[in-house]
Amino acid sequence: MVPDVTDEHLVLQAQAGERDAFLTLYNRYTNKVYNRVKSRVPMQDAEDVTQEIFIAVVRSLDRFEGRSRFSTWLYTIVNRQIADYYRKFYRRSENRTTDLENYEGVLFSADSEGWDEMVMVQQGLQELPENYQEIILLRFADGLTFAEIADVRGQSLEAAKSLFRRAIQALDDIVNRN
Amino acid sequence: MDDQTRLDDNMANYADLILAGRDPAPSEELESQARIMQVLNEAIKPGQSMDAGMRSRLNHRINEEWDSAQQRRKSRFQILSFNNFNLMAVAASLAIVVAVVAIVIGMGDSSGSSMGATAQGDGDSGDLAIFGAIAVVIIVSGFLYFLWNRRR
Repeated sequence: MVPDVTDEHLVLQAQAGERDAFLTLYNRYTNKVYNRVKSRVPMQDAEDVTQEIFIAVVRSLDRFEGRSRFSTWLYTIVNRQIADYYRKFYRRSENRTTDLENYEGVLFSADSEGWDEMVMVQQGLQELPENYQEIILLRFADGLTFAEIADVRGQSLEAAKSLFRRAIQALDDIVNRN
Repeated sequence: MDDQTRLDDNMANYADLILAGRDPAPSEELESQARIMQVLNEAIKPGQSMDAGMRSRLNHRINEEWDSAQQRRKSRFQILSFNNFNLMAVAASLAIVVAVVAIVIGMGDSSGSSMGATAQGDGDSGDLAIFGAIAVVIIVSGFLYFLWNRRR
């Protein structure tokens, strides 16, 4: 595995059928994707959703044309699969309240302190506009520094920090409102 | 430094500290948001990776999917390279032959029967030749575009 090779270059190699290139990409992003998934879906389903995401990546890799960064394209698939998950979740639930109670129960162990606060924060995260969700997840789920976030988003460090503050404030407002 | 920038920096620094595993006391103005960030950190735990069993199952499934995707890709390529490609080659060749025949007939008509030919008849064969030539250009261009697209 060569860390210097860009994602986009690896995609080109993977599109040409090189398994190793694809596996390098997959290894780069497995934990990041998993962290994003487990921050937004019940723990018991995080593995299945992560799997569905990477299956979708394999199936649609040929359609990646390099117009955006690979990570942006990948996180679009992550968001779409999580949205699909919730569509199916609500469709199959006849008793929505019971399911939501289960959802809250499986996100965190019942004996952990403040789990209801966690559920509120996670549900609040779902309600945020996409750019707010994105910057919070880049910092907390992907563990990128603010300088890296600014680079990824193509904005200044000050703008990234400002967006982060507004995102956290918006989340705080949603949690307090609920 | 204005007030907003100072707040932006304070909040970013606070996030950095809790993500580094420290438990700093938030300033009064950050108290509510600091709690949100602590909860986020607790819920997401960025350093945590999936366990070995889950990782192994995922690797296995993704490798399987890769194999079947490559298989599908190969068969799609075969269909493209055999059926469509050959079909287009035959169609283009036929079109060229038809166009050449049409042009030759058109030329024969206009040179061989100049005295007896009506203006209408000359016009028909001339039209035919023009249509033939246009058809050849369109089909050959389409064929070349198809080839060029495939090789990209």
